[in-house]
Amino acid sequence: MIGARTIAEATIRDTIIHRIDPRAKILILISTVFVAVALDNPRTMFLLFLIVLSGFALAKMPAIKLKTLAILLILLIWGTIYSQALFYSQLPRTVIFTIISPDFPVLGWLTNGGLFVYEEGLRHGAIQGLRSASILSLGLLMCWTTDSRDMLNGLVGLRVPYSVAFMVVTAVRFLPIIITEVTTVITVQRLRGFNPKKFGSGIIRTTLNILTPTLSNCVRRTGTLAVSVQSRAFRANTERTYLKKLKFSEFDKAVLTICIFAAVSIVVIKLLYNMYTSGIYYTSGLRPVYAIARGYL
Amino acid sequence: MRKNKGGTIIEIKDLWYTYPGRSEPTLKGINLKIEEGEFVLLTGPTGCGKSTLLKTLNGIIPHESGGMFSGSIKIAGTETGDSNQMELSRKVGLVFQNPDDQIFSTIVEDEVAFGPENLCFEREEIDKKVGDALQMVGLPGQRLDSTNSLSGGQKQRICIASMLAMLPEILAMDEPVSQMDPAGTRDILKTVSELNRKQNISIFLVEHRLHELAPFADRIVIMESGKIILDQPASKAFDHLEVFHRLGLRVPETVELCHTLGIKASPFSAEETIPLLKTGNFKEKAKTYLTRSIPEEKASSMSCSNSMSCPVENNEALISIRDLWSGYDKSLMVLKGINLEIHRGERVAVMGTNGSGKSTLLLNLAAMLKPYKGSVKVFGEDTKQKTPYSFAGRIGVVFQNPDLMLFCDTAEEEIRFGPLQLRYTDIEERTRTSLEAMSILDLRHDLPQSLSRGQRLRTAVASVLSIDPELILLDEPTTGQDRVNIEQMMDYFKNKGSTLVFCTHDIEIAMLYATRILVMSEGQIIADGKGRDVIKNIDILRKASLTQPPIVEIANYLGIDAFSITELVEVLTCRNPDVII
Repeated sequence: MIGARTIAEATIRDTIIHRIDPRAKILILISTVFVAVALDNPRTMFLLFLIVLSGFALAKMPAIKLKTLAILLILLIWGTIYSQALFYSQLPRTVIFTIISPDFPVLGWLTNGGLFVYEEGLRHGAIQGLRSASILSLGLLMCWTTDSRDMLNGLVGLRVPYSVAFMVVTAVRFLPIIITEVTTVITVQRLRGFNPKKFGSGIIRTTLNILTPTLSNCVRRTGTLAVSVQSRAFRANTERTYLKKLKFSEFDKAVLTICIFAAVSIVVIKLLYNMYTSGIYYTSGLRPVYAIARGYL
Repeated sequence: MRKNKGGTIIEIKDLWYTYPGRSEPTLKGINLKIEEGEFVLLTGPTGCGKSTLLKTLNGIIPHESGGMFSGSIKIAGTETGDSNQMELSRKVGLVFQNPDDQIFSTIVEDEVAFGPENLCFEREEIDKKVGDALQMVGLPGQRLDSTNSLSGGQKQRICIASMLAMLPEILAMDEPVSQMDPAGTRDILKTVSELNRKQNISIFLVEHRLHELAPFADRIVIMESGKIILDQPASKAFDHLEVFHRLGLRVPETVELCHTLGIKASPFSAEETIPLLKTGNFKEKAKTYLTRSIPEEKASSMSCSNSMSCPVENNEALISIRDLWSGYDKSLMVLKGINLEIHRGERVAVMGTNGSGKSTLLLNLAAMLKPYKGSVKVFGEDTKQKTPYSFAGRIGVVFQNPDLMLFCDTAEEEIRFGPLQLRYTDIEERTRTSLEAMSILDLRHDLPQSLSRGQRLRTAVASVLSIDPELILLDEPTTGQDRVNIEQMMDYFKNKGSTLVFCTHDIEIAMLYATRILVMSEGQIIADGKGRDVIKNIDILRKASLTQPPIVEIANYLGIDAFSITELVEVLTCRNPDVII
């Protein structure tokens, strides 16, 4: 329970990352998503990933969260590289390792000409992995350094309807409790002789056995919470006031400006470069821009 | 003692309510008047409509619920049907059983500010209301604390504060102390009582734990099957003891004692009771009680549970724990060097405040948690090498929340599930016996999740009984349950001679059913012995935030060695009344 809660909830400290306005954090995340999608260069992508990771050091995240992040990143990057290396379909591609030879009986035919690890696939997988890892890491950094109240106010400040923001934040708040309950349900069933199945036909029975008590308990809890918030005049008015007022600091404004400027610049440069490579638009005056795109983006 | 009372604050006239999709009304012609500043305690068996009545007070029923509603409810002269949610929220504050189901903020201040923010107060005003509300519940220093860092009692006080911040005239509370440890219960009751006395807030409180709450109430109202069947001042309500007994409601021990001795009074504490015992010769009346009122079986259970010579079937140690250190985080051990042996046939009550390590100990016994240091041997096998599945069929666990144990389509399937998985041969017989043992034979075709809380608990227990495990672990099984449900379950285990380890905050239940009581504090066992030995040690009890039951207090005062009403009555009837005090 304590472990699940520590992982799921924000760690509140007084660091430069924690002090950033939640609205700025959300906008930085959105900017980074655009940058990560636009970038193709593995070195620049790796640099972006390192910049994001440095945020965890600045935020002085506890070991349990760093461990969780490491597990998630390893699974994500390894899974992406592995799948892309095997199933890369673009040409040209260079085989660096043969897993199943085309001549291998049955399997060679089943795999439609063998199974290989491609050099280009590895490279493509690494880029894809780093792209997803950067976004995931920054998302987690944002959640782990922002108190739920600030997150709620941040979402509302960005014009997300209060009811929707409240639902999102409350769902996150109850997540660790639900995780703990699932663990309890599985153990209770094991003690009654049930062996939960991870594969095969038994998985449906297992899922139902776990979901039924967990969901019915969630419904009961949600009912209580709903009555509790209703009795505190939730949505009694179309507007509401707030005890805490969010305020952009100069630092927030500077960081946000840099991020948005960088994101817009990268996207525009990539767009121009793609127009050039596709033969849609070219002008010699943009040669330095094309060079930057080819060399670094 | 009482404060200024004004006019009628709640007036309910001929209230009928039927939930959507149901044919039977839950409330059937309720008539009730509550005066301003009154403290009314509403009780009754589970499923009688108490919580439903509470929800009608601030308009959640019928504004948000739908269903068929008729009759009239006036709050401070305003008809709930004619006013909106916002207006009613400022008049009636609702507090529920489990604070963890109500608190959604991570910071105390946010939780308390939620109501005033919804009511569109100005920032400065919200700030003041939050401060005032926290002051009223005695937590002014916790304003910026994380809600997760608070104890159960503190969390419930935050729930109360979040209502107080909206300045309600009435606090309606649905079993607010049923999940609290004794320290938390005292915190809440002190807070509520002060709000009632000093702020003149009317209190309408639903609770099963009459023995703890009756001293604070002005009136006691009893509901049965959607109707009010008794409405009396607290001092006179127990004159109708037969109603409480019939409905299986818990009566304060001191009241039970006086009625047994033929004393016409309803004292709620040992101090109030002792002078009453001077009043005369109660031999005849008490003899009748001793021969007729107490079932022989229960009497023997009391003497057995309290006796030094209570038999343990044999000396085989089912559980052997050596220097156990365990927890959820290596840097924060919950159990710190536990040494313990539990033998076959023992019924061990584990007591202590929330966070003292009771549940962690139980999880270690079920191999759900592994020792960080030391060893736990169950049936001679080290749990470090085992998973909970290794003990399937041999250990049965019933959690505080029975909902996590119910997943089949009918109660009967739920009970068959274990024996079926374990490939037992006599499944039908086991199922029937378990259904009968928990009195749910007539509910066997019902969906378990749709049963009442008491019925759900009995179904969960029956699902473990059908496996007939050698060791049964119960994590606070008495929480939020009627006395009848508790007794039925515990009597079954006692009669069957099961080896039982159960966590409880209820010292009376522990005294009645445990052959041995462990008291835990800060991850260590600070007392381990027969109930009557443990209960004598006031310092140990205080350390675990426990108090002696009033009967033991009275016996101590009188210099008598008695630990139950039966024992005390026996001794008192054999003594000359003049010698007593």
